Amino acid sequence: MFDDFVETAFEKRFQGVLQTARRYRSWHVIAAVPGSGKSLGIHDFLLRSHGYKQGDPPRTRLPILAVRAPKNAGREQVLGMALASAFGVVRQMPWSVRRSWLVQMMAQIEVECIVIDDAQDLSVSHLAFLKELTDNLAAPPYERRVGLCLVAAHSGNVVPWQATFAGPEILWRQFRRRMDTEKPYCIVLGHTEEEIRPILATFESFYREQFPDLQLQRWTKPIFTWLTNSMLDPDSTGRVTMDHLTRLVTTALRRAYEEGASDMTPAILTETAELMILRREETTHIDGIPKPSEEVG
Amino acid sequence: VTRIKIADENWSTTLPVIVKPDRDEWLGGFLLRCDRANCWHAGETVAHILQSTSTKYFNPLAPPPLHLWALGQAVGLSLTHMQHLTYQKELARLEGLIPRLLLQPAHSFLLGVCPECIYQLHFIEKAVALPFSQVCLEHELRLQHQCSCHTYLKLFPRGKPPFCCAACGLDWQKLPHVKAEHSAIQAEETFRYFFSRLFSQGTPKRLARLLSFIEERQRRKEASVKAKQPSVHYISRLIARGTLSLEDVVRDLVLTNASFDEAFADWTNDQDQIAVIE
Repeated sequence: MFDDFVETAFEKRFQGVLQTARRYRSWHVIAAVPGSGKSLGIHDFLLRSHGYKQGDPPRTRLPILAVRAPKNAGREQVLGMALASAFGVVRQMPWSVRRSWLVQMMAQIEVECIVIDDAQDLSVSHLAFLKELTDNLAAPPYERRVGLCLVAAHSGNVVPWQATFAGPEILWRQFRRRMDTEKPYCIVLGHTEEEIRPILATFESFYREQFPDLQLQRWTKPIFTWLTNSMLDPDSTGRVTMDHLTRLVTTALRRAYEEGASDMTPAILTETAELMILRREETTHIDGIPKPSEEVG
Repeated sequence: VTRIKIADENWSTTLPVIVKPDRDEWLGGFLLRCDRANCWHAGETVAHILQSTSTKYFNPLAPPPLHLWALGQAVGLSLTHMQHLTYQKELARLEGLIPRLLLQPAHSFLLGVCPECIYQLHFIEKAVALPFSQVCLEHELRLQHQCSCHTYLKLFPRGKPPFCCAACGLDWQKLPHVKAEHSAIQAEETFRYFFSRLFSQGTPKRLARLLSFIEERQRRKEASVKAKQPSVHYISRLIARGTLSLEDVVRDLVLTNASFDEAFADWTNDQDQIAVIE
């Protein structure tokens, strides 16, 4: 499976918003359809933020504090623990102590932006805690403003939390006030037909050794048409996700390799696309004895 | 390792803020510096070591290699780096003929710190772990063992900030800066000299020779030569306790007005070699 990070058009758009939040310490809710590459983009953004620990003199720098929203745990302590774990080993301490310790440490290690992945799973108490945390950082003695990106998976044209933040309660009014003026709620779109061409070129160079004659770019149009089929694009965005594109290409290439081909054939590509679109919900009955080469272990 | 990057495997297994030991720094002080760098209470780094090694007790004077290894993991450094924070390696070099060699028994250790070292660098010199240590030779100040509130200094007082009094919370850098008398400085230099000779040139064979030399001197001094053979005194002490404390050896050496050079006047390097082969 291809799992290297490719700086696609989607990633440039997505990381552009993250970069803005870091630079201007602005707050955003960033939504994209599942499989777009949000988590990979956050991971790459984190790696490129040059966080480090050094012992002499003792100094840790973690400009991007990125965590995944806790699942099925609405208590603020769980989010606090997730944030603390991003620094390294975590010591047990009472929650009242950890609250102030987090603020102290985030100021000390120079956090510039908090990124919460899967933010659609956050609870109201998590959001209240994030507000308290950032307010304490902004207050003396730290006086440190931090950016906040709530990165969420969405469906349709609905941005998670947008309706909630529009509510009349004080907490949401306070949240709303902190959101970025220009782009508070962003939906990052997937790839256009033109944008998948350079991605296919990247795949070509990546698999050149196994497929000396590989030319994927010439299949740009049919690939785009297949991957924007309503089965794969239920919200009719007319865009292609990186997950679908990678699945189509790698599955087709694996089949081509097993057939001993040196390039992608239209038959294999079509067959794979049909598998993804038409036979997506098909159940496979596993029977018989696997051939020795198929046996696991 | 000078830097741990966020992509490195040990990012999540190291302390949020890592600390590198200073030259001649003592383990106890280093642990407090780790606590301080991480905005933790005193003893939290030790608690992490105990938790990660599933052990219950920590001895900063003679920690087992497992504890030093775990500390190294927590700050991204090797076991060798951590061993420099104690005298364990030096003791191990001398230990060959003696089952268990100690600097001093843990119960006789009284923590003393130089307020100026704390003020400048939050530094506790390794020499405070040596028996008889009373003076900071760098600042010529008396080591402080008690707070102004008369509470003895405690290394890891529960729930208190590092480098502070367990009772009143006074910062150790605010302890009285008491100038050491000339005689105290001289005595400190003498003890340190003996330990440095022992540690730099000592071998198991040389230590055995030193013990018999001291006994010989004691016998002469006490004029009680008749019944005892050389080294019987130390050997019986060893058999009775199973351990030998260098505190006793250096005290006896000083009390008998003996010197290293006298003890090894006719010593040749070949004799050390024999000890190694044995």
